[in-house]
Amino acid sequence: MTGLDEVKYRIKFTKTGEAKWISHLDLARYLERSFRRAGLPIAYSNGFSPHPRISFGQALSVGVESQAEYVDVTFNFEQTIEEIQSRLLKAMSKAVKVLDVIKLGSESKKLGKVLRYADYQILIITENSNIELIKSRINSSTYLTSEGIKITSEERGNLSLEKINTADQDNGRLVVTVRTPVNLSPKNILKEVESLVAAEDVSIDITRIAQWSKSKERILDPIESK
Amino acid sequence: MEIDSNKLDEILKRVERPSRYAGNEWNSVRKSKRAVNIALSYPDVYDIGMSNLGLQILYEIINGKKDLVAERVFAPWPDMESELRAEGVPLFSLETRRPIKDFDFLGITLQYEMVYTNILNILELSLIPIFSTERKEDDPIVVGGGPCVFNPAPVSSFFDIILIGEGEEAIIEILNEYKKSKAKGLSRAEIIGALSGIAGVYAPIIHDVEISRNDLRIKKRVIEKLDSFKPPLSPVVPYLEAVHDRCMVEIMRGCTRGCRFCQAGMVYRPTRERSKANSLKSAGEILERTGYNEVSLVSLSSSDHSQIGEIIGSLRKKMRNAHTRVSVPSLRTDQFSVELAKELSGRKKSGLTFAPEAGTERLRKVINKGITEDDLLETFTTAILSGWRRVKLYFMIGLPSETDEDVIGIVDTAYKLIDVAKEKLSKSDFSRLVIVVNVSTFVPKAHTPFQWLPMIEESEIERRQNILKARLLDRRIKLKWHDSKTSIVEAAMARGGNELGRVIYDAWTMGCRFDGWDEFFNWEKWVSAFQKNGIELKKMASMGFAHDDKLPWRSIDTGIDDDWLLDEYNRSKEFEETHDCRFEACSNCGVCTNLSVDLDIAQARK
Repeated sequence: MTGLDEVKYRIKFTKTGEAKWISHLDLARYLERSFRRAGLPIAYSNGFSPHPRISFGQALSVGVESQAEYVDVTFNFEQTIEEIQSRLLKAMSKAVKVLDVIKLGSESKKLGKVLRYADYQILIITENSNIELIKSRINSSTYLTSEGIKITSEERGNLSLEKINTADQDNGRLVVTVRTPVNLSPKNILKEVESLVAAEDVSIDITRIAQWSKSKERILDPIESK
Repeated sequence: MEIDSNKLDEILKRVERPSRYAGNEWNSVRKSKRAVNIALSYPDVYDIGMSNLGLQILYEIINGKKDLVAERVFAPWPDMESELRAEGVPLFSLETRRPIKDFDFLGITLQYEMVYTNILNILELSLIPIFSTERKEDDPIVVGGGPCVFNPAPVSSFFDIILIGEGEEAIIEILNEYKKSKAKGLSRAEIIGALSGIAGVYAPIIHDVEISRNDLRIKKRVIEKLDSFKPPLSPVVPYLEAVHDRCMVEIMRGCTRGCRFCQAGMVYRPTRERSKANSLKSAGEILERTGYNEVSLVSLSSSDHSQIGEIIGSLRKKMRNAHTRVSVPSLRTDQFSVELAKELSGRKKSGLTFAPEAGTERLRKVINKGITEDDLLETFTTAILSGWRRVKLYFMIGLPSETDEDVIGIVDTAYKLIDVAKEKLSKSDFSRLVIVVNVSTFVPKAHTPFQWLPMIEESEIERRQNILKARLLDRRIKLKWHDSKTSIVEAAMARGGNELGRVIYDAWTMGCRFDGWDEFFNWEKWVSAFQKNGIELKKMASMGFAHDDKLPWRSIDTGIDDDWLLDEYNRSKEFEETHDCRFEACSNCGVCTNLSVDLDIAQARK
């Protein structure tokens, strides 16, 4: 049974700083409490142990930061987007920051079905190792090329591995961006990069920077797609 | 100096449940360094420590003052401990990630004897010398508190000062006195001297000589009215699920039921209730500030609050559409409590817990737990007819004067309940019934009428457990018992003297940690730590005291008259009941006179 006035919203948020250590299960509880603190009329399921009607896409590995997480939440009645944003801003820590909110249509698909790809940015910092060498190794990794992570070239959109690799020789920094199917764990990518780099003085950090849905062969931010 | 955050990041990637150490939870307070800075510690893992109300109370009171700072630190889980040691990272506070050694105070709460080795571990990981006599000018002042300090002797050598009793007022006096002393340019030793003058403060280094010479006693601190201190309205909300992860409103402090085995019932006297208005207002504010979906009305015996029915009724009315549950732990074994539980549980009835404590009426009279068998059967009947199918019963073995008949009484009680259920329930409902019989071993505690008595010996614990195991065979009955060896160490600690300081130290150097956790408790190490100091552990656990012995905890004054405790013990031998002073005449325990406080009941009974 669902209430007549119920409205579903999709929220895009970050998960950075200390929040990257929150497990998926704990994140659900954190968001429920945030909505309650914000005084937003979160809807609950019926039954013996009602739970908040919040649904997520693909879980993010603990320890990985994200600039683009999504959650769908049902409220008992409509709220303006501005109201939701301003209330959540006050009720949430900076580590979980709301970036965008949209109202969803009643026939909208579940997040789990909408999200198709995720982009990860891998930041490689080294003091002494040869950054160009690391770059060339990464670019020749079969795992990180399209076959390796099972994305066909047209699904990659305008992103290609080589184009988005940027190396800054002087500062010993290399930024690698890869697009993967959303269900691929960033831990796998990290492992591959670590084995390619294999040097002691190198620090490697991975961040989820975007997630994408796909509509009629177009790649979209799920907060834009209805 | 903050801990290197990149290094910490690398460490957190490798440990279990990293958000235990990440800090920055909702409502956590990050201030810059102020006049006096204290790191508050619960010496167990974060998930347990964050469930403690006392810590949140002090945290909010201290941080409410402009020139004071309170931050938190917990015992690192063994995986984190090895990381910290391997990487050479000192223990740090969750708020500002400052080394604990940088604080002016390290405050440690002692909730349970089996955390003692964790205290030493926290000190060492913080680079603070273990023994107070070895600390230098720039070491924080290590202050202890909590229920276990009513027998401070075993841990007194690790603390510079120990606060006896309730901390709401005293902690501020301590921190302010420090500020004053520091401004005067006093040395660390002089500051400890100044702090030792505050009521309720026991400074072992200063007081011990006087205690042995003149029988000096430190009187515990009490607050007069619970309503004068709001419960923490903005408690820190953990990211991970703590053991008790809900809004807590302490509706009552102290309990005068007078169960003779119960240390909490003796040392937290008198009973002081929070008014209905204050309870409701506080609950509302906490829910708004935390987002919790459950309010727990906590106390030692919540169904005894004079306005409990009204508090629950009003809360439920307010919460009706908010998907907020109200829960009441520690219910008594009576009709009224089951009715309350019924009102609270709604359609979902997970389990109901009662504590008859002993298996026969005779023994229940000995311990002053005045529940008759009829009470128990009636309460149980109401519970199962209200829909509960899982009922948990708490019992103890080894209570004073217990015979096999009393142990078998536990068995008989369980079977009587089964019989009642068989008669009252349909076949299908009956088949779903589970009675959990939870049996722990009685450990005599300081400041109770049974403080002089020995604990039963290990062979006896096992024999009595076996009586239960052999007889509680019905598949509807689930018997759970406590490990006898943990109880033996607990018993030795609970009534041990100064000589245990070295034992705890040796056990810790041998690797003992998290002794309250079955997976870490190491009996052999404890036995040899005692041996090394010429003490036989089992003997110490089951030793008794003569009535004119100098008890190791004699320096602590709970306000209860010594004669009253002895009188209570003598009454127990005559099966004489002592009534609750809330409902009948004063039982003359002495607390109100000695501490100049009064029972504070919100609403006079009809």
